[in-house]
Amino acid sequence: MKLNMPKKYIILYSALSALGVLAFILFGHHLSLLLNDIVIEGEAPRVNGLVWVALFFFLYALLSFVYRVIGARVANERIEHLTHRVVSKIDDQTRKHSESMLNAIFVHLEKYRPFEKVFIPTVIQTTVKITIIITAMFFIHRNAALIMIFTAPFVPLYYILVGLRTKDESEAQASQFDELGMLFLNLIRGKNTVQYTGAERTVIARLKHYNEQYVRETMHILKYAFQSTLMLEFITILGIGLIALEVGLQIIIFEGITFYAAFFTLLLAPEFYNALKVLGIEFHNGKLSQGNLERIEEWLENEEEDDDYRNFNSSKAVELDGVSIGHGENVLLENVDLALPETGFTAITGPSGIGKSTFIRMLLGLHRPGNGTVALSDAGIGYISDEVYFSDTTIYEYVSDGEYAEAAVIELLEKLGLMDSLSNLDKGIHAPIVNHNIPLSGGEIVRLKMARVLIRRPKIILMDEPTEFLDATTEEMIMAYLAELKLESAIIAVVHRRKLLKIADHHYTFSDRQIVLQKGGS
Amino acid sequence: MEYLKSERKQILYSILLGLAGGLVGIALFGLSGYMISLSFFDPPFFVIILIIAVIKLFGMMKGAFRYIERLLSHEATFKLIGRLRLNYFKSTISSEQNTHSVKFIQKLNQYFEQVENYYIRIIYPYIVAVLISLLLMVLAVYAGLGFAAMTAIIALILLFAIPKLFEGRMSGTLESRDQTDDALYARLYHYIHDYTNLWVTGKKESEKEKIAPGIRRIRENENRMATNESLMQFMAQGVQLSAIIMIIVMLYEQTPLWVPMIMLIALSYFDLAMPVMNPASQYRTVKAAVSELELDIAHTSIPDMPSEVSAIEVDHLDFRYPNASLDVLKDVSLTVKEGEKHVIIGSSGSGKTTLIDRIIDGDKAVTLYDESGRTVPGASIAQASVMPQQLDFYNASVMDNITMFGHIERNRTAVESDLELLEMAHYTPDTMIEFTGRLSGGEQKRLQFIRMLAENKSWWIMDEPTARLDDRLKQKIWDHILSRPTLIVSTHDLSRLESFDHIHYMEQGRIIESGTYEQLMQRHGPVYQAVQRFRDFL
Repeated sequence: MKLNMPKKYIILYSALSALGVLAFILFGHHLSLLLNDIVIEGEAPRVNGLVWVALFFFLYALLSFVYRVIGARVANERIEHLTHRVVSKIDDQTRKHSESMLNAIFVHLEKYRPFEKVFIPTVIQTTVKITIIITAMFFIHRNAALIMIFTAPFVPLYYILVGLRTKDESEAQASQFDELGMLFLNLIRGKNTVQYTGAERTVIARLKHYNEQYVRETMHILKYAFQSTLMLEFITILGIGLIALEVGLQIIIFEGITFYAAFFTLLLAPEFYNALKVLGIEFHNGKLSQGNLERIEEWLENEEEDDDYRNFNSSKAVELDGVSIGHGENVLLENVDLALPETGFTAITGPSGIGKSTFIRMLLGLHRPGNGTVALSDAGIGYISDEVYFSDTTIYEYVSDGEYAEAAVIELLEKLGLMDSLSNLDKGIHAPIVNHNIPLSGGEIVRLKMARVLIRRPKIILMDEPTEFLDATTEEMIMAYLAELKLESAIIAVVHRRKLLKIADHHYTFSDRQIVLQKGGS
Repeated sequence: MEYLKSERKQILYSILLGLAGGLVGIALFGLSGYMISLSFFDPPFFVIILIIAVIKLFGMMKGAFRYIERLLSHEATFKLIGRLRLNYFKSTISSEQNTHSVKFIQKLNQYFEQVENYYIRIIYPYIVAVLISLLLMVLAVYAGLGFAAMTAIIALILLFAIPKLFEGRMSGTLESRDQTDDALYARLYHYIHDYTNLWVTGKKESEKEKIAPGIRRIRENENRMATNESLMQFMAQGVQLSAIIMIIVMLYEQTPLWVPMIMLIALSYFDLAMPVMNPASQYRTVKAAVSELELDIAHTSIPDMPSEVSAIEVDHLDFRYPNASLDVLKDVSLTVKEGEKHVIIGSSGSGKTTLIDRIIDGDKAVTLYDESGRTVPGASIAQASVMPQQLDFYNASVMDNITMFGHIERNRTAVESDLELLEMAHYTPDTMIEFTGRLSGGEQKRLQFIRMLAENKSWWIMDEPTARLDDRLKQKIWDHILSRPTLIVSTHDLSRLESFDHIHYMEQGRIIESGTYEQLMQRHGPVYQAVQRFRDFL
């Protein structure tokens, strides 16, 4: 498994781990000396001996503390960075999959966090620990070091022979656990449909059946997983036992070992084998966390627009030169040249799916053309979309966006004929919009959306004609207002109905990957 | 804990085994310590061999105990979680709660993970650690009362004082993490949904920067958690150090031979007790989560199949969403009898969806009548097939999704031909829907439509049945819808308006015009205008 972590952190982690293990070894050294005095020499412990023991143990504890804190901080910082990277992939299309985006940030990233926070530091720490302890053992009691070297490969060997199957099985279990969890959460989320279809009993029975089956299968799989832990434990015990046996025999028969070395060996042996065991267990956890990273990476693959491909030095409102746009293989416009004047109403028509919306998105700077240049006269574009999104806000804030005074907002709303109905509301233009509930009619909402754009007096106005129902009076009013506006600004509108063509100065149609000027327009 | 009743045996055994395993583990270390001390004083050879044999045996036993204990405790916990899930589902299904937000589901998921932690990582190990501490205290009396007292103090500090000391901080940190998550969620939701506007008005970057503090706060929060956890470990190691010193100082005079043994016992006891501290410090928070899930299900019941519905009456319905200051529906009245086709039109935000939802979910002002004119009790609409705005699909096969896990009888061939009909032949009945979020809006509509075909009920209540579909599919679906005897449909798509018996026009939460197609066309009111406007489409 790859530790996808910058080298500097790996070096830092290794250095800190090495210092920690050294402190522990020095603690063991002094403790063993001290106990040697007590047990063999029958002396009182020397004060400076006690001080050394305390000092090195304190150092060891301090270094462990620092290691944990640094490991967590590095991980959290990297996760923060990763979150920013995911967030930067949000674009105007994300709202169609907003759930999956929010899941990536709130679920998958959180499940990935332990990989960076625990897995990587632990793997580095245990690797360093194993190496240093074996090295130290060569100086303390060579035979024990040899036993360690001899038994240690059994752990990876076991994983190769038996554990791989366990690993696959436990991964299957983890994904099954996810699946069952997902189904349960799905059912909670979709309880309404269960109720509407009257399927409560069936679904409950199914859930129950799934649960039972799940416990059965999981226990079957867990048996393998726990067996592998058990085997690791047996190898550990075998190793520690062998070392203890060897030490015992050395003491009694060969008398080739000091008490100091014997105790020191027995202190370090469990540390060594536990480290091996932890490595084996963590390997499995790491694999699971990485699955979540894959889900996050799916988002990171999306291309990110960071620079604006448009330039704003044109003397025309819009000037396209050899522009092609499309989605992947699907070419919508090919090699189009187009110039639209600084004032006037340009209507665009064409069947759905032919690329009108993509064209508008391109002008907005949201869809990079395959070829060609896009030049506009001004960066301040007003865009009236055919969708509505109201966050929790007030009508005044919605229109002014915090930039215009109340008087200016009221003046514009008056002009659009909205003030009559707005002043009927409890708090007038300060009436809150909560949960997307707007106390207005469709025609009024359209005008509100327009007000939000028009208050900025943009030089270029892009518009997706709203498909809302408008009554005749409202419609006349809007058309009159647009007719007045087009004297100062360029209005480019995707038009769905003939009526609006009346105020159009130019009428273009999309056909055959080209934008064609229609007769009747000037 | 009440939910554990039926797994009592398993739990008892796993605690006993955990205890035995822990003790054997500690004895293992103690014995090896004693062995070395002893060895240097020329004991009989067989004693040493015996001790080593016992050590190994103990080791094996410890492993085996641990193995069985884990199997038992996991099985008990999984069974418990299964039952908890089932109960939770049963009690949620009839509640009014809106379960559609990602945030709610994420939180629920978290709760269930915490329950698993609660039993596997908090309760069992903690009980085992406490029991082992008690036994060690008793054994410590052999080394003197003072020594026993020290053991007791250490156990108290590790298992009680330190977790208690951090409990407040931990739950504070976890709580503020929760709030941070909620706030960030709202910000992100806004940013995603308002992106186009923010981009166009040049506010994208500044809005994006407003997200950053939330993400930063999550990091700071996680850092605080990590610092707390590490501090706990550090403090425990401080205690461990004093224990090491105390053992040497207290025991070297009387019983020097015991020192290595007790030293190794102490080290292994700390290894066992320290991992318990962190979960124990989160007890309060996790306990809260657990009680969140252990709902009282005594008085939730599933309604029986109600009798056939012959009419639905909406009588002077006013409705306002919780926390909203305005009514979304104002004085709406409408009666639909079996065999009638009703359509509701009007602009977005006029209240169509809310009205459909009220009819489906039930309201005081909505009454259902059976054939004999009696009121159908409860708010159940199970006699109608519905297509609300929010559609639900599950991580299961297409077949299970269509038939609601076998509740609706429909054979595979029929489902296959329905999929074919709606141009979804890239799905088969066996296709697994692995992630419901990946279904597009149009696909959801069509699958729900197939579900309704399978249900084959006489009432169809639908919200925007043809939205997000192309013209050919729209007409195909309209043909099927209009062949149904009884309809309540809200729509923007006026292409088949003339096929309905009754047309209702909504504006600002009121039905402002109702009638047959002919009547309304003559009247030249809002419906007439809407139709003209619709015809004007290019």
